[in-house]
Amino acid sequence: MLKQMWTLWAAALFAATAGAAPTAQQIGQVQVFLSPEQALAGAYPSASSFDGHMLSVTDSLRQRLRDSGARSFGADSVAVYIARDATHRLLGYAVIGDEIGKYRPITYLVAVDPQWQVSGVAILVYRESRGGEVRRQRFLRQYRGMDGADPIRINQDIINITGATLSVRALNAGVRRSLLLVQTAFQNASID
Amino acid sequence: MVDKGNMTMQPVPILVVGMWAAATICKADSDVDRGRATIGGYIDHELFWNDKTKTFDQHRFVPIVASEVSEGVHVAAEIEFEHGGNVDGDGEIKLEYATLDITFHEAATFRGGVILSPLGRFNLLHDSPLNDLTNRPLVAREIVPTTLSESGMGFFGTLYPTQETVAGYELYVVNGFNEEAGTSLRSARGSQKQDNNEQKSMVGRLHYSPSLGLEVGGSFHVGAYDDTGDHNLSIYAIDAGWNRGPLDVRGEYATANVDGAVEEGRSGYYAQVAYHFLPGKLLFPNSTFTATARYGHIDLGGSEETRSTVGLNFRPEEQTVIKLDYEIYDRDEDRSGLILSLASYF
Repeated sequence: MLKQMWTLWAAALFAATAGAAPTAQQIGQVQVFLSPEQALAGAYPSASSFDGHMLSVTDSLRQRLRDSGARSFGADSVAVYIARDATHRLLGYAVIGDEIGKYRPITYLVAVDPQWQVSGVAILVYRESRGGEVRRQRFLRQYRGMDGADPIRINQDIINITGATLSVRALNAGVRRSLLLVQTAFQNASID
Repeated sequence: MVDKGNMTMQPVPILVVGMWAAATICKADSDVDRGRATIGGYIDHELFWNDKTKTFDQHRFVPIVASEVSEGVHVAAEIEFEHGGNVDGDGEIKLEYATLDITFHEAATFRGGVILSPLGRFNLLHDSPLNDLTNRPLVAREIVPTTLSESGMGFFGTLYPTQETVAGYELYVVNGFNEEAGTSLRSARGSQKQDNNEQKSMVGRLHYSPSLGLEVGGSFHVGAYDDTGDHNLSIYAIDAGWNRGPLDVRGEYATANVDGAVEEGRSGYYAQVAYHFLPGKLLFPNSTFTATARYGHIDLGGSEETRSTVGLNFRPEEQTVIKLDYEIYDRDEDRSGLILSLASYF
């Protein structure tokens, strides 16, 4: 029995490490999935330009976000990207932000279309040792089409991932906050 | 430039914003941040009101410490203060888990330390704020003695067979259970320091999710438990969970065979359904109520017990919960009664 167990363990060890000592690139792939440029290009494939805006989060804006049910911002400013096509037509907005999962921040991008609906979410960096499944499209596509009226919560309109509940909750908060931020800041504003 | 009311938006060159975004991403990965520990945890507190006891219990205060030592190297630990800590022997302070993870690939992380044993589903997801009822299922106490954490080493990983499916495994060699397994598995959780025999035990779990919201798992724990290493203890468990919208259904079955014990065969199961409703009430925009029902049974060979539980809880935020449960024991009727509890991550 003992020999069998050790054989099994050794086989698992070999299988897991066979082929190889990991390269720095492989290790990097574990957590850094997309650069900001890749994430923006993925969210808006037809965009020919991204205008960057540094949005000051004033007390008034914070209050309006809280009134909308979003968690408050810790940062004083947020980078918002405005995507346009070759004819300068507005394609949408994108926010890159961080939310703490169980232990570490998750860096994500939320794309919002001109109708103030989420058009896409991408995970740029996932730093926990478990729960990387949140980056998969089978999970992230749930956010598409959601707007400020949607709760964006597990047990309501977001299906949870067993074992990654805190990461899912963090992303829900980040998506909802980013969506409301963009809508609150840019709706009724004329963007040159 | 747009200037609207109390907010200002300054268009800045894309290069600058790109650098800012990159700096944001790198900030948490920098040498300054990396290696620093993050502190969090959870707390729960309970009031039991039945014919056997009427008492408050500061059940758990569990600080969690975690650190990303370097890219792909993580250390995490939970330090559990149970029942107020070890005051006059009336409580406990212990490492619930303490692990060093070295990630070679998402499919292969090497883990060593005091490991939360992947036996059944509940043991891995036992945190009080995560669960909608206060007490753990009977099977998760007597067959899989949650919280079961053991000293050992092994691997875990996640695989993606297709775009729509996820599979995962955990496999560890551990010290295993001790001689007490002959009478009680809960009393037989082994030492983190010294195995009681020369035989090592193996614990592992495979899980598979064919679609988002549905997961099934199978797990095992096998190895010698007595001091001489002549008798084996085998525990097998299957579990499943499904959630969609406000509905959450889960269940688990476990069976144990204790070679050489008076009562060799033991088993148990539970099934639970929860329904979440009335979101955003009572001044909390992110709040929700949950109604839960659970039916559980254990057969320990010489004795059996069945417990039915109904509960209503309120979460002002998702990580904080107030629970009100009513339990009905089939045999130990004096334990039937109310439980009011609080739990929160922090």
